[in-house]
Amino acid sequence: MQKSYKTAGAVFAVAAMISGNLQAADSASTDIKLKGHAKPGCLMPGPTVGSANNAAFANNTLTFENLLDEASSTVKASSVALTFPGVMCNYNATVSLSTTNGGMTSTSGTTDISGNFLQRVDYVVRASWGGLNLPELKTVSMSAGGHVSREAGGANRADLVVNILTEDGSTPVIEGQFEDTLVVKIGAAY
Amino acid sequence: MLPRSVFFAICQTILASVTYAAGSGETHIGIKARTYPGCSFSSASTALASQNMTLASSGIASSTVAITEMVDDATATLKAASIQLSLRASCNIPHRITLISAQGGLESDSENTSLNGAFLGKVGYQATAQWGSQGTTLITNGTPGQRSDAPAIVGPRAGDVNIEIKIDGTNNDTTLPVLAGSYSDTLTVHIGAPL
Repeated sequence: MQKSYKTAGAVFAVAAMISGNLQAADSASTDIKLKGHAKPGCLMPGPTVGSANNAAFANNTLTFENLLDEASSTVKASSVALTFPGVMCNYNATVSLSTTNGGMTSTSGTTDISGNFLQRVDYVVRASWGGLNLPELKTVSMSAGGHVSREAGGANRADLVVNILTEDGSTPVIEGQFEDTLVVKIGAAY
Repeated sequence: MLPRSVFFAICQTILASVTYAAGSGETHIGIKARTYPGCSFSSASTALASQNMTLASSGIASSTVAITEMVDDATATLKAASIQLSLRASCNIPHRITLISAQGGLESDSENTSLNGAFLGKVGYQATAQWGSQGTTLITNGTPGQRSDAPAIVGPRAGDVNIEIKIDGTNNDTTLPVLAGSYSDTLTVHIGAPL
């Protein structure tokens, strides 16, 4: 009698094991994870000229047509407004303005024997990118490579307006060709 | 006179001896089994075709599809991408097939803000599952937990479930730049009882 009980117990165990293998969930799922990365990037189309006073812009070169007052040889006020339409960065980029020479410097090398002439013509740049105003770049207080910058605070897509101007001066400027390169940049932090 | 129980015991012993002596015997074993309603996926996904998407990893329970280039380098706008996957499945009961998007589209893993202008901050996609003669499509609309229709399969079925995932202009404005960041979603393919 005891032997029969053991046998029945063994059979039950096997049956349970088999039924355990057969039993399945009445539903099944599989997950497909989708991943992608949108790279940070910026677009900066070329500028168009807005208002201009005593200045002309072409081929990415701004020319102050009559830099000096003829009577006094001092710097005349001039200005130009450039609009870079639809400048876009899809991330929190930094906008910067930098001056290569720290102002327009003479390339002619005329000697000033009296020390009473300006060897450098300073200018001011103001820039705004869809309400984001940068600090003014004033070359008078900068040396070569000087810059100003501002982090946008988020992605931005708007016109970037850059005003470049010279102010009336009181000191005569030495004769010559004056040049500088202004770099307008949007992208990684300066 | 022998007690009745002893008499039967003796008879059984004699009968057993005779049977043994005959060199043959017979017994009947009843066999029973029960199958349970069951659905399962039995193979990892394989990619049948793809454009700008790859099957980065594959398992029965989970796979990963990676978009190769999500945005155009020159414009930061969305690039089209698609992939066709296949995986084996079976259901021994009438059942349904459903697609579920965890986030209702590809969502950025980081907080994105924009100052001016419109950007694409969530990327929609279209997923289609074909299971025998039945198919279902999910076009994400940004609603977390969004589900496709769940067509009924009237009987059991075993075979390949074909999945197609497409990113295009169906529900995305492809003229807008995409906010930078890492995007993800989980698409669940469900077969079995209605959810």
